[in-house]
Amino acid sequence: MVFAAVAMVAIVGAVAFVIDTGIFFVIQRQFQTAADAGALAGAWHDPICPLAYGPPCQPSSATPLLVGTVVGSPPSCKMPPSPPGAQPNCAPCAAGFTACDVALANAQTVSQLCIAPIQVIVATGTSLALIKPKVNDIVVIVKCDAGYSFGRILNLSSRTLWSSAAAALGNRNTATCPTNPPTSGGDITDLSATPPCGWIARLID
Amino acid sequence: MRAKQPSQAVVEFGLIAILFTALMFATVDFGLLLNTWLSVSSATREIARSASVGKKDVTLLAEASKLNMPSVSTAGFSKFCCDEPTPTTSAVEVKVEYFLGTQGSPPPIPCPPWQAGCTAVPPGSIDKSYTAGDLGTTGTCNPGPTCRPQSDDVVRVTVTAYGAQIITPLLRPIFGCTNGSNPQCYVPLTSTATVRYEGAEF
Repeated sequence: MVFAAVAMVAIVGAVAFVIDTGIFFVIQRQFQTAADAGALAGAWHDPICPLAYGPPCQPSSATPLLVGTVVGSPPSCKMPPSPPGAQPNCAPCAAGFTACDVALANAQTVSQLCIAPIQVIVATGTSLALIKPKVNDIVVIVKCDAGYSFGRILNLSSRTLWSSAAAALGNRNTATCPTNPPTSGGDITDLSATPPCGWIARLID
Repeated sequence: MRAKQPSQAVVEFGLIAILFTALMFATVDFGLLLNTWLSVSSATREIARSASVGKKDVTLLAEASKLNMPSVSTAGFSKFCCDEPTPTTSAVEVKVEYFLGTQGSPPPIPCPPWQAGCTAVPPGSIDKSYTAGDLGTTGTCNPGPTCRPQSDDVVRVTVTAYGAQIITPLLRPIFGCTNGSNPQCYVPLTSTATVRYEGAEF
């Protein structure tokens, strides 16, 4: 009887751990896809790619960009006007900005596994904490609270899952064209608009 | 009161053992399916990125045919990947769809997949070199200003592994797998990635 009780607790605990961890894996994996796709899509739009530069930059049909600093784990935003250490709530990523739309479209496929709405945070600028200085890049963070299913046996309720990605534009042809911003620390004006250099968005973090 | 008989413990153990075994089998199968799904997800990301940077149909098809997917069986299918017909005859299917972005002549109204009522660009408007739905099916229009895909379009790639299986015998009946129907016990696993089309390959 004692052996059976001990074995039962151990096996049920193992099953709980495996299934909950597996579900969290699935969510985080999809969030990484969402953050990567959002950042790569957003890198082409103003202000990461300034309209004044001309092609390949494109306008943003919405202006939800947060010029701030990504801080904390799970990450949040620290806005410039805030006093040091303060972390005001970030404004939700508005529909209409490509990075937000693409990230959310990918993340929504696992929305049923979250117990709270999925949040998408976008930050941009040349001084983001995670990235090399001067590079004009975009950081996309996707996160949600996921509930434990079997873990509730162990009094666990939820866990915040998140993924982030940063991207910037560069030249496609790196053999004969200027080095990409991620490695040179430069911005888009350092690149070549002359064929066959071409343009491509690259993940840089 | 009668004393506890030795055979009672055997019967109780038998009942509990079935439950424990089922739980362990479920854990094993869940882990295997999760592993397969992760490879499906990776494949989706890779193909979506390739489609995003303008890789053409033949390149995507070659990429899909070389995918490494653990636990995906080709038994009962004509090949690993990628047949167009529905219902499928291959163990893995890849679908590439394009949605209207902002570029073009004349500029179209954007119709991305996350917008209600938007559908994929029909095969008749896809450049012959690119896919138009299931991988292996090229488009039909001649390259020109109205041909898709064009920069800022949206690409949606869906990979489905029809050949993923439940392998532990105790769980197969739960999924309706008997020797009569679905003898291989296939459980389709799907992953989707939506990305921005960055422009043609050169």
